[in-house]
This record gives sequence, structure tokens and C-alpha cells, in this order.
Amino acid sequence: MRAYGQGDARAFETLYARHKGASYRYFLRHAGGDTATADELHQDLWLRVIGARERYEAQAKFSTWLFTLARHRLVDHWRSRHGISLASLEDDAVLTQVEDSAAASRDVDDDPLHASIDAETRRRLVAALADVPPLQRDAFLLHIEGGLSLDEIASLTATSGETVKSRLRYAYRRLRATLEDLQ
Amino acid sequence: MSDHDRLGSRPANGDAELERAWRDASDEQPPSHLDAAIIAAARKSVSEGGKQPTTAPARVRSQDWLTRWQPLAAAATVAGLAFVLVQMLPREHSGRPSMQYEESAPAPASAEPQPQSSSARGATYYGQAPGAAGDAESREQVAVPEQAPSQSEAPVPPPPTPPATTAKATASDTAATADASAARGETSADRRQEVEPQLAGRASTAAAAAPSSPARERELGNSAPLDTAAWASRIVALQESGDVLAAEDALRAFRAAEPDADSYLPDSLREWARTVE
Repeated sequence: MRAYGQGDARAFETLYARHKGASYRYFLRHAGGDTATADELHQDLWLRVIGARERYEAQAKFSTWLFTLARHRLVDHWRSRHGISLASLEDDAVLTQVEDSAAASRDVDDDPLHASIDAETRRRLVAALADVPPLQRDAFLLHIEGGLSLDEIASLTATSGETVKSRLRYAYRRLRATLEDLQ
Repeated sequence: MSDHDRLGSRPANGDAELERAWRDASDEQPPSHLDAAIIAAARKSVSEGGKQPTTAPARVRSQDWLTRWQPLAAAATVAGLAFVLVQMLPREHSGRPSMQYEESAPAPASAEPQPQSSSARGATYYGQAPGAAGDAESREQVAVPEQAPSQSEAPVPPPPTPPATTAKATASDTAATADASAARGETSADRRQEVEPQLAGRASTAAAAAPSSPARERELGNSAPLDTAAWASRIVALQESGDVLAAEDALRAFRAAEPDADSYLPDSLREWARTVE
């Protein structure tokens, strides 16, 4: 990004090729598979990146900065379209209830994932993530698509590391349960 | 996702398998035309030296256009509204005098003397007791309205009361006069025959007095004969309109000007007149 800020257009192409899939899928999953919305948000995100070319200062990983912009754009989108924000969607009661019910029954060592992922599995996984509450889904996507650590997600979402870990655990359990049903 | 392995803490064991499964399931990429548009915007931003990307798709350009022109459009709208309001204000002000003129214009054409066309002027007329012992100024106030219909060069000043009140009073005066005339019957007709020559003579005198001057008007006011029919009609009108106090005041002023004032009143008001001291 610094090279692009200094006028190297090819540096941007490299940067874009490296991160475009992750940022696009981040929006696509939050949009419930709506490609038009994902296209719009993805385009706006990268135009913001281009607009910030000369202002960019490397204070953290580029992906952290990129997904910070992406999350802000997503919150703006939800606020303008639905009048809601990520913060308003937090439901700790639901999260606690699901975690309590699944605590004893889940054996993490009993990994059901051995078979290859076919098309049905893909569809079911994506659908399962769409059913995950937005905050948990956001943490999962920032982690698995953005490659952000728990601390980075906590800093980005202005929450504690324990909260992020709890959200991630919930999302992973939901997805794992989906995979188990497929076995 | 190349740096997943260096993530410090894992939510649970076995997540690596889930992540692998997720990556296999989730491999969507943005459409190629979007890639091309974004890269073109990036290149153009570099070539233009830091300017905001302008090669973005049409939707982005339309948003920029709106952002750029919205303040100007808002300012133009406000200016237009202000102009319309300013244009409307003078019309309201200029409309009032013409309305007053239109409402007061028929009054001189009436056969009745001028004081009956305006309640306010009538109040001044009777309140000042014309013909009674008073100063010259009070007589002048009486004389000017009477001469107004015959003075072509001097427009009648608008009455101090609102036009609606004036119009209402004029209508009620006309109706009251008609009622009073009907009540008086032949007696009223006889008196009208006596009054009409006086009015005609006064009008011709006033017409001959043009151009008018304050001294001339005062002279005419002093020498003008008492219009007993107008007095009586005015009292009848006030009584009919329910303004008893004003009618009593008018009757007292009439008596002060004409000792035999009660005889000019219609029979229906005679009994009421006896109660007025």
C-alpha cells in the first residue's frame, strides 16, 4: 500500500489480487449471498482504499486496516438499508443459551470432518453461517476470511478478547453441527 | 488466510478442519468487470496525481455528481422560494388600498349623505354634535364627509375602521334605512321630499365651491343646514343593528343639534327615545 501511495499502480494490483476474494466474501456472506449488494459494497470499499492512497499510514497490517474499512462500510449499509447496526444485533442471551446447551454434548476431539467437501456441503455450510447471528458471523468472517487474530478482532469491534472468543466459539459450533449432520 | 497458523488462540480444537472445509466451500471471487473497474480507478488515481478516482462505474459517478451539486441545488431552491415570497408581499400590501377604494367608492354614489356610509365616520359625526356649540374643528369633521361626494379632485380618505366593518355597516345602514322608511310610511316620504331639495342644493353648492380650500370647507360646514333625515336614519340603523348605546349617543347628539329631534324619528322609536335622557 505504501508503494501504491508513492505512485506504483502495479503494487495496487498485487494488493488487490491478494485481498479481493476475502473482502468480497466478507460482504457476500453478510449480504446473505446477494451478489449485487456484495458487488456494491466491495466496489465502495476499494474505491475508499484508492481514495486513501496518499493518506495511508502503516500502523497495522494492511488486512486489519482493510477490514476495518469493510466493517464500517457494512455498518453504514445496514444502517441505511435497515436502520440497524451490528451493535444492535448483539444478543448475549441467545449466545449464552446456545453455548450452555451445546457445552456437554460437544466433544471437540471427535472430529467429523474427514470426507471431502462436495457441493451440498458447501451449500449447507454457507446456509448455516447465514443463520448465525450477525455479530458471531462477523467475528467468524473477520477471522477466517480476513485472517485477523482474536486481539485484532477485539480491537476492531471494540470488544474484549473473551467476547470475541465466545462469538467465534458459537459460530464454529453451529458450522460444525451442520457438518456433523452431513455425515 | 495465509497467516492463519500464526493466530494466537483458537476457539476450539479441530477448527483447522472446519476452516479447511470452509475455504473449500467458500471460494467466490468478485466479478471480473468489477476488478477491471477498480484497477482502472486505481491507475487513474495514480496518473492524475492523487485525485479521487473518476473512472469508477456510473453509479459512483452519479453519487459524486449528487454530492457536488446538491448544495447548489439547495441554495437555488432557497433563493427561488425567497424570490417568490418577496414577490408575494407587495401584492398583499398593494391590494388593500384598492379594496378600500372599491368599497368606499359606491358610497358617494348613494343618495344617502356620506356619513351613513361609514360607521366610524358616523361615530365621529354624531359624537362631535354638529351644529351644537363646539369648536370649529368639530364642525370641519362634519362638513368634509358631506362634501366629499361632490369633490372630484379630492379622494375620500379611507375610513379608520377595517373594510369588512365598513361594508357591513353600509349594508346594515341601507337595510335599516329601508326598514325605517317603511315604518314611517307617508310621514317619512314627506320628510324625504323636504330633505332631498336640501341635499340637492348642498351638492350644487359644494360643486360650485371647487377647488376647495380648508377655509371654504369650514365655511360650508358652518353654513350647511342640518340633515335631520340623515340623523334619524343613522339612529334607526344603529338601533336596528343592536348598538343601543351608540344609538342613544346619536340621539343625544341629535337632540343637542335639533331640539325637536324626536319628531324626526319613526314612530317605532319614539317610545325608546323617551327613555333616553
